[in-house]
Amino acid sequence: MCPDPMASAEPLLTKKTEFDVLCASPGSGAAHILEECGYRARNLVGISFSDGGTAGGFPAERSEWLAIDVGSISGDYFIAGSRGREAYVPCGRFPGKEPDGSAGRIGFQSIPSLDARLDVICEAIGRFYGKKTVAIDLRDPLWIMDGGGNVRYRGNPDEDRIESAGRCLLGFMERLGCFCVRTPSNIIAAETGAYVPEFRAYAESCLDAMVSGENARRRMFEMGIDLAARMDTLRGENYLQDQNAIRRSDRQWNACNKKDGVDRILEAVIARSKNAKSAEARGELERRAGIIWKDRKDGRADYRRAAEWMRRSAESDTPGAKSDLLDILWREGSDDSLLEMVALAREMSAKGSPKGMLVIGRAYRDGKGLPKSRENAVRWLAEASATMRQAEIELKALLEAGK
Amino acid sequence: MSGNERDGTVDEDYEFYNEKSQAKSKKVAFDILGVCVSRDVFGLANGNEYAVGKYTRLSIPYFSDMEEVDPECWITMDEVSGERNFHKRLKLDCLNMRYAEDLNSSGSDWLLLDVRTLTFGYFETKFGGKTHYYIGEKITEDEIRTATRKKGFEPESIRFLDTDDVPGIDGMIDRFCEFIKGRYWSNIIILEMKDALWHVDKEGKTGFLHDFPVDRRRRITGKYTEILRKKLGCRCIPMPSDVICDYLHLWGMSKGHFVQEYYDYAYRCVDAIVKGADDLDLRLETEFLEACAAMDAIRSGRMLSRNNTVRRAEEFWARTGDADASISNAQLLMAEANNPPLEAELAGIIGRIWRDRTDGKADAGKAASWMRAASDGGIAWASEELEELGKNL
Repeated sequence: MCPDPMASAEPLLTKKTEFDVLCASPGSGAAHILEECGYRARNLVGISFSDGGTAGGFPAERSEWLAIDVGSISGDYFIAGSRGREAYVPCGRFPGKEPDGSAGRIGFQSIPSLDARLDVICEAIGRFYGKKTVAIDLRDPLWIMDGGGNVRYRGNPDEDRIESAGRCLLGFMERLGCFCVRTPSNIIAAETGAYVPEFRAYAESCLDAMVSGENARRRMFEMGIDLAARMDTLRGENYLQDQNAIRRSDRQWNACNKKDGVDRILEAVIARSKNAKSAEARGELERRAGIIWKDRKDGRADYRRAAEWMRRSAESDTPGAKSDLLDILWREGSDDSLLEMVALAREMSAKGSPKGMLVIGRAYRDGKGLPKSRENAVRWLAEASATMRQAEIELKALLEAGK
Repeated sequence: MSGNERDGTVDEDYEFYNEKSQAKSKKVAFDILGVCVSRDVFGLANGNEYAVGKYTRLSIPYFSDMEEVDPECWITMDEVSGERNFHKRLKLDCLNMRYAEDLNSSGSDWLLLDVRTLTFGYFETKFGGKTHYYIGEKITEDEIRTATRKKGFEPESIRFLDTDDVPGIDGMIDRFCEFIKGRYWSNIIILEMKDALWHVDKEGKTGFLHDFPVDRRRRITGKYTEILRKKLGCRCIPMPSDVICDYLHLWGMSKGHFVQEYYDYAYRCVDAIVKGADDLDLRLETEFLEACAAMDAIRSGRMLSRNNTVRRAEEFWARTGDADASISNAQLLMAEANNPPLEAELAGIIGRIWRDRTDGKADAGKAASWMRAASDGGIAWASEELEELGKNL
């Protein structure tokens, strides 16, 4: 998850302090992080829970420090054991297959007598490593940054896994009073799954502070607060950049004179829409491109192109875009456009949109996209006029024309 | 929705917190610079050991000037608009520039501070050869003009600025820190404030809330919290990034009105800091991890949030005519709660339904039994109502 797959295969181990790593599987994320931060992960200690409650056995030649890989330990376990003794072995140790004799799998939190088993393991850890323990908690990222710096919410968090990791971390913290390197829940990762570089910098500063021992816990805790804020800042800076792009576009369009400059502005708006960090801003800028094509101040309005941009904008649910698209399609007036307009208006009116109702009313009134029908036009305009002044005006005009 | 939709701000109820802070003299008192989240740590959390002294909004630019306004030039409650007197008072604090004087005379020992008001931006106003800044939320340009004219000046210009764009904001922060360090010494706590990305609705379901302006506000609060924490060297109570806001919050729905579990967590941290708990660093870190775990559990539906669930159960209690269904619904909530203080409170509500049902099946014995369970679980009102029930049995 967290190690950067683009990073060098052989990280440079620059620091003398060594760690053993208590983990559930050979591909330990905590070990990778240690090595990325210049520390050597000397021994991987496999955890398992048996009736004795012990871990897989700490090495005779131990390192000074123990890192606990919370992410792997809090995963699923196979139910194993023999001669009436229960045992739970991490599924990560048997990738892709179930070990012989397994009676199924079980989540970390559901392991029977988990507290007692953790007590035993932590007692052993305390005996071997004293206070020199650190829990490393690597979460699945819920925010993804693409190559253009656009951050989006990935969604569908694996709630069981998140909760299990949180409980596991607390289980070790409460028993050992260990240090903690944690990923904030708003951590951002690249599409490859690697955390943004800020995380490695944070982890290294934490580990350095911890090893040097000066007021380490408070410093690590505060570094964690700063890292979480940095993740918000990354998203917020995107927001700033996007807002500036929208404002600049509006200013330029408002200041544009009638004779020239429209093409230049249009080009800039389209470029900004492509560079937008968020889907919302992209939609807003696409909408502006549509409006410029529709209302070109040099008299070269192109409704087909306006509709193209507005359609894109509407696809990302930009406020007002569907309504603008209805206007553009109405003005374009080709059979296809009117067909699309009526379908969109029906979709909008089904959701209670007065604009959708107004357009259906107009279509019936003028026989554009729908068969001409005064009766239907009156019905739809009346419905829209309950909440829309424009519909009220057009209804009144229609009724008066019929007198 | 109450509050300001644009900024997700909140309506406060001064009277409520004032009532909660009665017997101030016997308690350690906090002044508060910030928004209702800080204040509600003392009003909504499960604890009542602290009083609130002066509570007003944080205005960093003000502290670069701190020019006292002649009381004869103060504008009055009648000259500003506001839904409640409390809102008007906040405006007067700002327009009459009374922050420093009020804080100096509050008598409180501690300061709790959050930077959420910095997301409101400022009205930069020039008059009398000087530049002044007023918090850019709730105050109107007309009110600024009135205040300026009362000082004998006509405003030369009024424009809105984001906090980041206030000229010389760094120096203003330095002067602000100098002032509050001089006033409170090391008795300062920063409450980190983030708009929620998740909510729990009126049916108890959780959902994702992220929108465009949330990113802006979280960027600003994150940035200035870090700056102030480093300059002040004080303790900071972090907010879980996955904090959840509550549709059934006492003050209504807003991205700054959180689930009860957040206030309880923040209160425990404040308490640990004030009392100088043993191994404070570990304690604060563990509290934070517990709070994060609680947010995860609420979001996943494994644990019910206390205030939200109690409010829903109280609706069952109100329907005393259909008490069998109400009791069964409340018991269902209890079974799903996975939250001992909440379970105790629900037991009390079931006791109330048994006591108050109007279908002829009211049963004081059953009511007392449920109320006892609530009382044993530490619910103060249940103890009082149990005693009342005892008198009537």
